[in-house]
Amino acid sequence: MNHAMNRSPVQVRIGGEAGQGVILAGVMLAQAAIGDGRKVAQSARYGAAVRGGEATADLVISDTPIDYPHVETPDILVVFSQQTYDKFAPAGTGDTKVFYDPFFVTPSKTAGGSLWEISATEMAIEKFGKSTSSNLIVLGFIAQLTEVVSEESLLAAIEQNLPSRHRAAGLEALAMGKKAAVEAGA
Amino acid sequence: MAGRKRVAETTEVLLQGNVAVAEAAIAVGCRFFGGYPITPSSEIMVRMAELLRADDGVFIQMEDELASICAVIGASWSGAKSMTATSGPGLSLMQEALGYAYFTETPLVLVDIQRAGPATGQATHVGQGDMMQFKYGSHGDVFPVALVPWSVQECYDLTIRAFNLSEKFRVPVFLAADEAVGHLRENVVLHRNFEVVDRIKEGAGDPFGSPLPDGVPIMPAFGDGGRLMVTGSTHDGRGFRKVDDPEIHDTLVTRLMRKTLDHVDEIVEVEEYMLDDAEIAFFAYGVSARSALAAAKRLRSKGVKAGLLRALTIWPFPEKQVTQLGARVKTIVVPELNKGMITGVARGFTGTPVHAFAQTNGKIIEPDSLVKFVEGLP
Repeated sequence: MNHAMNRSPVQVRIGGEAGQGVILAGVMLAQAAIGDGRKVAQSARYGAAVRGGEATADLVISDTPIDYPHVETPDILVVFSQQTYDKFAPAGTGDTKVFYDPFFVTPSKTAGGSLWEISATEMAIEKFGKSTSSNLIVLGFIAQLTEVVSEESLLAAIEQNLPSRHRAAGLEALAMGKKAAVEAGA
Repeated sequence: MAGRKRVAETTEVLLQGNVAVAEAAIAVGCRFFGGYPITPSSEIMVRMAELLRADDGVFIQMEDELASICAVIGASWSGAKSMTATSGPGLSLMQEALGYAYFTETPLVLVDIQRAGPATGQATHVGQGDMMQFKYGSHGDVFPVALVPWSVQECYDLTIRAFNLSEKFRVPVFLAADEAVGHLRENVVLHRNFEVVDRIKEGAGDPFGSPLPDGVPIMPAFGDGGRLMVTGSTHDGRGFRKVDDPEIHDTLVTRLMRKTLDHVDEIVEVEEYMLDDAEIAFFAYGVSARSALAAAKRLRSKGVKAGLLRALTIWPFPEKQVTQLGARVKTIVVPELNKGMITGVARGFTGTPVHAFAQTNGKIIEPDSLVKFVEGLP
């Protein structure tokens, strides 16, 4: 609601392995976008296995009703696995902002887009002793750098999705991502 | 409220299509769900378990799909609005009892979240391959109703409509959704701004004959005190088996047909987009209609006069609307996630060329592929 109306639609794709919180990150981003008064279509693509295998969350965020609900060309690509990076990294010149976690991804020298490194897994392990908050660190990072959703709405979405015992750590992870983005020169 | 809290009724929230189906069922008065889990429909079952438990309804996980649909039929005859949800493989298993439900004029709602078939196919990926099964899955002449949502909001709105049509016409109604819409999360308002239709339980005439003016007889419930006989064999107005009388059979089969076909104008819903001056039109339904709308807009930006006729009701088929469309445009393209099922039906109602854009790769149709297809047409 802090944004001017009729911004261009934004296409976001988050890729990784099932179990990394990829789809939950997509859901929270979608809720935040609705909190900002926008239209959103959020979908996921995953295999039949309960854990493991490729998982992708897609979001289209727009101020007007969304016709085609899936991502065609991501404006923002977030990757938590080499497999999804290799599959979705833009070829040649492209405007896609690519966010990757170096714990899992070594970017190709020939792929296009602008590259943003965020060591979310390492940061999460160092701070919390496990990697499970890395998705929230990345959300804090991209929200700061891209303004795809407002901080206020993202905070509300996290509060809505996390059980109370994980809430404080979740908000801290988000703040860590934001700080890293500021340091990265947002 | 057990489990999760209910969401607000006037504000936009983020919900999955499958969850919106369950919310709608409860909002319109569904009191029974019997089902067997199957991807990609299982979220409906999970949410129904939570909501029915909280609202003192009845939820049963049955041992398989055949038992599920039979439980739904029984619950409906006890007077409860009843629903089940499944996907293609489960729909196949339910067919025998669906014919029984149709012939015994049992109101029920069956939600089918279509996945890539045939057989087990690709459980987590989208398809629209059950379109003919809704209409032709049973032996004998059946005239059921099938509604097709293209958004999460319509998962909500059309589930309500499905119950209302089912109650009004005493006919099984399918919500013919697909994985892409069932698993999509979008803005949705769980409003209470709708009419609720309930079956007429008492009045003149018998439960299987002497119809009220709209062709639908009264439907008493088991347990209400009257004597009730329900059979899948040919029956007279009171429900007694009449398996040798040619006239009774013909009268019954014809009345059941007329019940829906005499009300097509009420049952069939379509929407038009950019058709006023269109030369080429997409005729589409479900998630494929969203691809078509995006493609039509892109074609317009390239100077091609494209439009879209979208079916919200696929059975009874929008015959008149397709005939009228054919008279307005030079070419019709039907994009669908099967090998051209509805394309073939549409061809029966217009002499205008109808082309299939048939995609069966477990993905929804990219608008640019449709644009390219149209540009390549003769």
